[in-house]
Amino acid sequence: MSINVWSILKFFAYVAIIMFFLFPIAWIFNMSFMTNDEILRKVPVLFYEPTFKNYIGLWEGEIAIEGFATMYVYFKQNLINSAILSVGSVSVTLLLGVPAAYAFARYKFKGGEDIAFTLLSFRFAPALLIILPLNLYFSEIGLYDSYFALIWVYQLITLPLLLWIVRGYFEDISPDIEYAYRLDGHSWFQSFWKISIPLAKPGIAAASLLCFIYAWNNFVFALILGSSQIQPVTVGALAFITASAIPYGLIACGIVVSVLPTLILALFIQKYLVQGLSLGAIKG
Amino acid sequence: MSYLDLDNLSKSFKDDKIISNLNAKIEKGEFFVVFGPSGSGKTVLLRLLSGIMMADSGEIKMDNQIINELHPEERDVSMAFQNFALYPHMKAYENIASPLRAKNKNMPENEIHEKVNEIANLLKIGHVLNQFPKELSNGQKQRTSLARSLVDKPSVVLLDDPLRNVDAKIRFEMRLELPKVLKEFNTTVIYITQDFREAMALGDRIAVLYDGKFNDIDSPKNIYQNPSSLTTAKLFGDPTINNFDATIKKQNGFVEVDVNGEHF
Repeated sequence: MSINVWSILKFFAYVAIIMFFLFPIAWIFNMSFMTNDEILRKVPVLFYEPTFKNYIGLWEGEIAIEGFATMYVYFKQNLINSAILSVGSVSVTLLLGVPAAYAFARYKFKGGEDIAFTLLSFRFAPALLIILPLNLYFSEIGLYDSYFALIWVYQLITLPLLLWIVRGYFEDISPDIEYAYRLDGHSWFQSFWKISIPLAKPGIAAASLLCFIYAWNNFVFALILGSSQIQPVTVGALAFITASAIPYGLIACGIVVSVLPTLILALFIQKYLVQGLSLGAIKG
Repeated sequence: MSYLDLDNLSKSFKDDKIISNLNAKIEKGEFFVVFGPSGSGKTVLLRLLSGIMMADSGEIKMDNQIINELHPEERDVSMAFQNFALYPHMKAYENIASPLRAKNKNMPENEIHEKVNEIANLLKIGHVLNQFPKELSNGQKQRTSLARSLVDKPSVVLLDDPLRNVDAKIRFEMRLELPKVLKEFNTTVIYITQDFREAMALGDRIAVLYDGKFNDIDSPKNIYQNPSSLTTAKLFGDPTINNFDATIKKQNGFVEVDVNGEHF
């Protein structure tokens, strides 16, 4: 009987933990279908008539809030900016980071470890520490307020991350597999492309996903280094909060929309994350 | 004229001389066994021959051409690795077909199919061609790796202790089967092992590697009966041969031996 009591307690513990993490998300999802009035009611309403007004307003760029003037938002442009910045950053990171990770994993060269560590140390510096000098430099050389500049700065966050994750995966691949492929008559590049990269795919996928999330969620760099023309959703959402009104429904709706791409990407990449392909390849 | 000519080959790692001034002449079609205790540099030697490592000094000549500086893919050499080194993301079929796809870019698919099946049937792995390496037993992996090294009929096949990671029963079977299979290809085989039984059973000639060079190169029988040194003699035989200090004298037409005060 004691086992049953334990399992019941465990069940409630799980429910509590899941509630703790999922409830805010569920409630925000809920809020995005409510009017501001319904959200601000003292006793929260559980049953209401869902409205798509927030979503339509977000899409069309203007929304009338009861009792206040019409509000204009540039959320659509922010969303496009976010996509450009995140996809751009991850692409550049993959292009530079994967070959670099391979080099660090396979070849021992003078100062290699130091370079790898220096790259990692970019992650130690608080963004606020470097943002002011960067801002000055970028204004000077005319890079302020461009996608290129932001994607470049985002590399400070994404490149070390990908480099260090993927490097570990490359190190786990036995060099003998690559040698075998070359002895078959393939060139070095073919063995890199056909053997090393496919075998490190779970690592590359996981690292790309993390990079995408970091880039998508970045706030400080985009706030300081860009105007509203290129700012992503994280910064754009600030505009929702005005002196005259805080449209909670609209904010909730913005959150739901901005979480969706990451969520979809995570689900899509999941199958690569669990691929334990290298198991059993080499006699251990 | 020998086919594969190793001339004063040396390789060291930092201050550690693994191979120093190694010489050998290997004939075409010969089954040449390199035998030595672990750590004697057998695998390093194979890596020098395959081009995975470059020699510090000395020459490797194949068919009268110096191949020292050639990349692995430019040498007409194939290799079966001790750890099999199969491509985990490809099925056994694609593993075996890999050399065919690389070297003969225009080989039609049906010819590849034919060749892969031929070698697979010869090595009795025809039924596992559609499986991934992780689904194969060690014996099957080892046969797949052998098939991959033989399918393109290379001039030289390097086998790095291929029977080490398979269980005793398969090892025994393969010891009998391997020479037959390899004879069909009429290829030069350099076979590495640290098991003297394997060396005795398989080799046309055995080269005994320790101290960085070949100390004996001879037929199995000659090495067994007339080892050049005590070290070589100790390497052959299980349990190892007994040895003791003795004084040998020739007196009155007899040979007399003194061992620890005992007189024979």
